[in-house]
Amino acid sequence: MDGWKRTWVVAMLVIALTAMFGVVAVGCGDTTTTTAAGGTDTTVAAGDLAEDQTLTINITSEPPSLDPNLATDTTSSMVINNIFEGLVHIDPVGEVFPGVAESWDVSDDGLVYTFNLRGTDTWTNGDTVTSADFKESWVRILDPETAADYAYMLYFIVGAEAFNSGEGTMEDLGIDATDPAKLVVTLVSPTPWFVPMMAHQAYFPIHKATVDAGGDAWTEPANIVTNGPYLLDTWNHDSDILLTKRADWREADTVTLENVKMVMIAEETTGVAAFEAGEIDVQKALPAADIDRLKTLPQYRVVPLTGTYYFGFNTKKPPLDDAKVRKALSLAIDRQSIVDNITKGGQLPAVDFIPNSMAGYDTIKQGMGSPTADVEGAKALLAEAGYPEGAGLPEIVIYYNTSESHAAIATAIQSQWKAIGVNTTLKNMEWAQYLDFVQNNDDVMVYRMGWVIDYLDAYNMLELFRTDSGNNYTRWGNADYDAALGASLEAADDQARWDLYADMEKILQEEVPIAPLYWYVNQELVADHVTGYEPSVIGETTNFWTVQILKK
Amino acid sequence: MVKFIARRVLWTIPVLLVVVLFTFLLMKGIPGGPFTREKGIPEAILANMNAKYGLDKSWLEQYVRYVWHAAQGDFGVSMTQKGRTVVDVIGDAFPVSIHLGMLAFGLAVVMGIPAGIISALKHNTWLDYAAMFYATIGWAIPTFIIGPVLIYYFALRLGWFPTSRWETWRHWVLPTITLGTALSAYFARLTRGSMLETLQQDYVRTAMAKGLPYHTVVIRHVLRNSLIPVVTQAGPLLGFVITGSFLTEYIFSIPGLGKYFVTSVSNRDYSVVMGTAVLLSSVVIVANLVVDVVYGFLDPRIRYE
Repeated sequence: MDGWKRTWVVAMLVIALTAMFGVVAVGCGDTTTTTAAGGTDTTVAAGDLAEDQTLTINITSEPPSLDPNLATDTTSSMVINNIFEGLVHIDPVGEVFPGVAESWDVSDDGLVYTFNLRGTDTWTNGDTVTSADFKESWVRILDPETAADYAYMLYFIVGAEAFNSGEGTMEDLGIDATDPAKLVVTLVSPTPWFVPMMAHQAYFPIHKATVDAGGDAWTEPANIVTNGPYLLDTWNHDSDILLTKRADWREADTVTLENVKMVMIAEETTGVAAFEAGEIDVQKALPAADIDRLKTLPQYRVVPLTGTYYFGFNTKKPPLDDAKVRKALSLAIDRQSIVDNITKGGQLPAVDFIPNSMAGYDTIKQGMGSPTADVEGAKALLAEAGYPEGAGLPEIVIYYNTSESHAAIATAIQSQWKAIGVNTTLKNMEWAQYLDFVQNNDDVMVYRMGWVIDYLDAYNMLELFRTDSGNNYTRWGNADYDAALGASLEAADDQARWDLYADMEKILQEEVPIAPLYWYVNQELVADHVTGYEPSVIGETTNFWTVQILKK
Repeated sequence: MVKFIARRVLWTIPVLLVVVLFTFLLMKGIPGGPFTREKGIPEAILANMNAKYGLDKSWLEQYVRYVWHAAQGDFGVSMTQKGRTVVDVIGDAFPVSIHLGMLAFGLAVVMGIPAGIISALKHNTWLDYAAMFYATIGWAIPTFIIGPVLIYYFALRLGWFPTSRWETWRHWVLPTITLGTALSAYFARLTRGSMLETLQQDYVRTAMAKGLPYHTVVIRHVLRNSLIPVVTQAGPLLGFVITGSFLTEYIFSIPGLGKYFVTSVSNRDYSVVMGTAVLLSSVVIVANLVVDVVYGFLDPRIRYE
C-alpha cells in the first residue's frame, strides 16, 4: 500500500464530508440552512428506508489504534471520528460547525481561544463531558511518556513543545479548564486554522479514569468509554468492527443508520468482488488493472483528496544544484499523459504544488507546472545551463519506493526526460529503507514523495519547504520563503495570508526544488441503496451519522 | 524414546536463542525503524517513542532484555498496533491460521495421497495420467491465480460461497481449496514416486511370489514403506501451513498470522518480527520432532537410543 495512505492524517476530514448534510439532518440549532451543499436532497421518505439500517464498509485494514491520542492514520480516524466527538465539526467546504463546544470566542490578538461547552453532553458511562476531559487528553498526548506521534499537532499551544520535549511542565501549558463548561487555550502565535483543527482526533477528549483503569487495553469494546454518535460494539482484530447507534447521544433522534459494520478486506480485487457480490456497500481501494471497467459502473465515484504527488530534487547535488536544470526537468514532464495513461483514476495534473481543492487556491496558484511537456523550452534551459541537448550532463538517478505505480510513473518520466537529452537511471527501495535514504543520505538525486494535508490550510503544505523543516528533503532553503511563511501567521485576514502563500508558491516556481506531478483523488464504489454518504472537497466521508439505507 | 524426546526439547533452547539473535541482528541491520515516517517527526517525539520501547538502549542490552522478558512469557508490545501485546496479536491470529492450515492439510492428505497411490498402482493408464495432470497443474498454478479465479466463479458468478473473510463453514471452502490444491498436488507426486520405487523392491517381489493377495502386499509392504518420505516432508509442511499462508490469507482477508510475517518486517515492528520468528521456529522444531517419533512406528529399522 502507498505510504502516504498509511500515514495520511485526516485532520480536517474528521466529520468533514457529510458534516453539512449532517447538520441539516440532525437539525443542529445553530444552522437554519436547509439546502445541503452540492444540492443533494437528503430527505428520504420513511417508506423508502430499508428495515435493516446497516452500512457495511470495507476499511481495508486493522485500525492500528482507537486511542485518539495515539492514532495517526485514516483507518483509525474513521472509527474514532464516529465513536468520539470533538469540540467542532467541519463541513465539505471547510466551514466549522459546533460539536461538544456550543460556541467559542477569540481574543483580539488571536492568541486566546475560549470554547463554551454545552454541559449536557455525556460519556457512554453517564459522566458529563467537561473541559477537564479535553485538558486531560491534551496533557496526555503531550506527555513524553505517552510517546504520541501527533503530539506536534498541539505545538500551537503555549508550553506544549517544551512539555513534550521534557523541558517544561504540564503546569505551564496554556490550557485552562477551571470552569468545567469553559476551555481556555492560549496559543504561541495566532493560528487562523486553530478552530477547524479541533475536529482532528488529536484534540478529542478522553475519559481519563477509563484510560488509567484499562491500561493498553482501554480501547477494547469491554473497557472503552466514548462520547460520540456510535458505540464500539465489537472489535474482532484483523477481521471486523461493529459500531451501533448510541441512543443517548445528543442528537440521536435524528440518526437513521443503526449499525456500521466495518470489514477489513485488504486485497483490492477481493474487495471489488465482495462489492459486486453485494457483501459490502462501500469499497474504496480499486485495483489499477481493473480501473477501466470499474470507471464505467454507475456506483463509481471520484472524490478529490487535497494533496500532491511530486518529484523532489536534491538541490545540493550537481547538476541539480542548478535551478535551470531543475526547471528544464520540470518543463519536460507531460503531466497530462501521466494521469491519462498511468494513474487513470481521475487525478488532475498538478499545475501547482497547492491543489485546486485548497482554500484560497485561486489567489495562491502560479501555474508552476504545465500540464503538457514544453520540450523546446526545456532544451533551451538546459543549453543555458551549459548542457546543450544534455551533453556533459552527469547521469541523474530517480529514486522511488517499490511499487508498480511509482515504477510506471518513474519510467514514463525517464522517457520524457530522454526526449530532452537527459539520461536517467531508476532505483527503487523498500518503503522504510527508502524513507531513511531520502531523509538522511545526501547522495539522493530525484525522489518521489507525496503530501496529503493534515488541515485545510496551504500552510500545512508550504511549511514543507521551510529551510529547517524536518520534511524538507530537497536540501533547499530560501530566506524570503521562510520570511513569508513566518509573516503568514500574523496576517490580518485570509486574503492577506493567501497573498503571502502566493509569493511562496512563486518562489517555488522560480527555484523548482520540486516538480509537482498530480493531485490525489480517492476513488470508491458506493452501492445504490446508500444515501447521505457524500463526497467532500477535502476528502471522503468519515462520518456515518447522515447515512441512510434505502430499500433495494 | 523418552530420553530422546527430552534431549530434543532441551536442544530447542539454544536453537531459539540463536534464532532470536539472528533475527534481532538482521532486523537492526536493515535501514529504517518502527518510527520512520513519511511525515517527519520532531526529534523530541522520536526520542520519546524510542524511550518508551527501550530502543534508546544498546543493542546488547535490548537483546538481553528481550530474552529475559521472553523467558517469562512477555514478548513485548507491538510498535504498530498500539496497545496490543505480541501475545495478543499472535493469540488472536494463530488459531485462525491453524484452522485454515489444518483444513488445507487435511484436504491435501485426503486428495493427494490416494491420488498418488492410484496413479502408482495404475501406472501408465489414463487414471495415472489424469492424476498426474491434476498434480502438475495444481502445483504449477500459483495461489494468487487460483484464489481470484475461485472467487470469480464460485462467489461472484455462482454465488455459492462468500468472496472473503472467515466466519462460517461456507467462508472456509474457497481458501481451503486454494491453499490445499498445491499441497495435495505435491503429496500426490511424492506418494506416486515413492510407491513406484517401493514396488520395484525385492521384498515386494518376494511377497508377490509367496502368493500373498495383491491388496495385502500393497497395504502391508508397499504402502507402509512408501509413506516414509511423505511423512518426512509432511511434518515441516504442516508446520509452515499452520503458521499462516500470507497469500491465501491476503486474498481471502482471513485474520490469520500470515500477514504478520510480511507486514511486521515492512513496518519494522521489531517485537512482532521477533515473536513470529520465535513461533515459526518453535513450530518447525516441534513438527520435526513429531516426524522423528512417527518414523519409529513406520519403520522398525529406525530406533532411538
